[in-house]
Amino acid sequence: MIKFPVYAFLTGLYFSTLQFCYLILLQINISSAYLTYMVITTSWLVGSIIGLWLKNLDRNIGVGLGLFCYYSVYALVLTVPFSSFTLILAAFGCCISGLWAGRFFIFILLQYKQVDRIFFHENNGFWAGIVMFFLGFTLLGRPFVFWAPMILGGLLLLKHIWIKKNRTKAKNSQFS
Amino acid sequence: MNRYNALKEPVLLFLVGACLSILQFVMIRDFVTILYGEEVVIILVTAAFFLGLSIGYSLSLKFSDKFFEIAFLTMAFVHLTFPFSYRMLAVGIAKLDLSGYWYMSLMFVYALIFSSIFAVFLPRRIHGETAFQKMKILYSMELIGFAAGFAIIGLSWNKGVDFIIPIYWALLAVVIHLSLQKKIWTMAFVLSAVVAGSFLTPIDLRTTALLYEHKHSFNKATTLMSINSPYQKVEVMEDEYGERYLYLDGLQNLNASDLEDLNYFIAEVPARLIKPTKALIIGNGTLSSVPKVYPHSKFLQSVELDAGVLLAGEKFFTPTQDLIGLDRWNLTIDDGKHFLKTTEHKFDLIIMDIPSPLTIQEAILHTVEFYQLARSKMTAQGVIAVQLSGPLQHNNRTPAQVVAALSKTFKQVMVIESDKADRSFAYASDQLPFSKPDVRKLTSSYEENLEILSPSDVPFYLTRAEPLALDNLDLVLRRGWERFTDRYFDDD
Repeated sequence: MIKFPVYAFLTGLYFSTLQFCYLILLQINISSAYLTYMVITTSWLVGSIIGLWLKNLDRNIGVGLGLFCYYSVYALVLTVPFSSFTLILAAFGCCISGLWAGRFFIFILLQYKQVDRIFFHENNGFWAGIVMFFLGFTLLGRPFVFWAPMILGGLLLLKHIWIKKNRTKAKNSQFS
Repeated sequence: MNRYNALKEPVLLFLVGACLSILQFVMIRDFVTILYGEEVVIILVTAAFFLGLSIGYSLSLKFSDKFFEIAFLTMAFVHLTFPFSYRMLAVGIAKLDLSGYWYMSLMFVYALIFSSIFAVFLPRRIHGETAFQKMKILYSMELIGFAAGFAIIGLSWNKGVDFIIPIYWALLAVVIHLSLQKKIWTMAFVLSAVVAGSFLTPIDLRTTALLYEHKHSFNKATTLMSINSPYQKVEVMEDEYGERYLYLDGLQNLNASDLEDLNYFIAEVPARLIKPTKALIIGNGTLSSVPKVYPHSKFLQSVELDAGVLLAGEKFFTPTQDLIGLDRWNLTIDDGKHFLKTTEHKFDLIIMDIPSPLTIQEAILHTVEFYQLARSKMTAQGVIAVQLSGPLQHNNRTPAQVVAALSKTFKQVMVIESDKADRSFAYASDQLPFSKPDVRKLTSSYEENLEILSPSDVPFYLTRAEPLALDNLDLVLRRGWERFTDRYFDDD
């Protein structure tokens, strides 16, 4: 049986870690003013809403695009933190990263059907991610901000391969 | 009628999103203030709110419509007791001197009351053949509502909780009407909300005062101001002797008498000794050090992030007439880091009048990286003055870690330990423009037995100290946890 609860939990963990990493990245390199927080949260929400309606966003592309945007913003804030375009580009990157946060719920609803369980496991991952981010950043600092999204994103991509394998297996056994 | 029904669910989910957003803000701000705002507490309260959501999701399909209606209505009426009920329960726990587990139970029970009921709406509406379409529409509406709640929160900056709670109650009344379709309950809720709303301001001020009397051990407290800034809850309290205190997220930032000593050592002493051409004050929202530095500098720049603290300072700590006519002084509302990174000025004196490193954001302003940034905006003999939150000792605690960060950045660090101010201060520079005898001479009339550590004495205290740095902020966790457990779980 495919362990969708684990997948949903891991996804929630990835979403909150990515959001908080975006936030601290901008707070350290640009500004801790409220505008930074507002830009990150609003862009993520906009991305999630758009993601809900995107029909062709594949799960691997969704996660991969999120990671690509995050590391692009990472490079951007380190190289040109005070260009007038930096915050706008960071907001755009965060919005793109948020796409999978919307599309994920449609994707998993197709597989798992139980809406209450989906939200339950994803939300558990989200709050565990808040705690993990705090511990990770205070204990490890910037290495956490660099590695955590990559590791969690990588785990999700591995999980996608596993989901695909299991699906193929299930289909084959149906035909046989 | 059909149109009404088609719109009902999306509007309902929009309102649920807005309510959740507002409640998340109210709960985190109020409970962080009750439990005192170290980062550890902020994370704990935030996690509790999300745990409440998880419980709501897990129970959402377990009960009948009838049970859901009763539970929702009961919760909605309990929400009319905000912020009175949980503050009074916290007062009760403090009064009876109960253990920290009671505070934790209070927080988790209220997390359920705050968030779980709203988590039930979405899963209950997504089912059947139209599940995918409904998920798209309803979840989109909930997220848009969440963003709208965010905008409402923005309108409440620098206002009391008595501004945002009536708005929340109004939204909740519409949620009750749309979800239950029973006019009698909607009317009952609206009437109760009007009654509760008419007492909200005095209740907010009185329950705040009671918390300070019982939890902060004031004999008698009066709430002069209680507002939510974009960053924290800002409260000004007055004790029975008329002494005023500034609290940020429930943590004492300063009191009026301490302020004099703090300003003297962190601002006036270095300003008198240096006579700076350009001086910069970062923090000091009360602006109380401005009149102390201004007479000795040709140009003075203040940078404060939080307009709410400036408001409190202007109203209760620094009379406006003290700041009138200071034409060589400029105030900018900005993050200290951002200001330093973008300014073209170089300063002879930078005064860091900011809170102790109890949150990540505060700690970042005490790191090697921040001091390197400050150094890049200082003249060759420029000095940075920092308050150390306690005495410098031979250990790895806050004062030693901050001085270690300064020592890693600057060639010379002088530390003074004041009994009067009940803390130490550090002056750091690549080439200090004053000596130990200069400081002694200037301060002898203010505090006779001031302990002064010259730059050559300081390294002895730092052998065990790790400099605070962006990659070494475990102090926030360690100190926050220590304070939290000492406060709530230490029987001694």
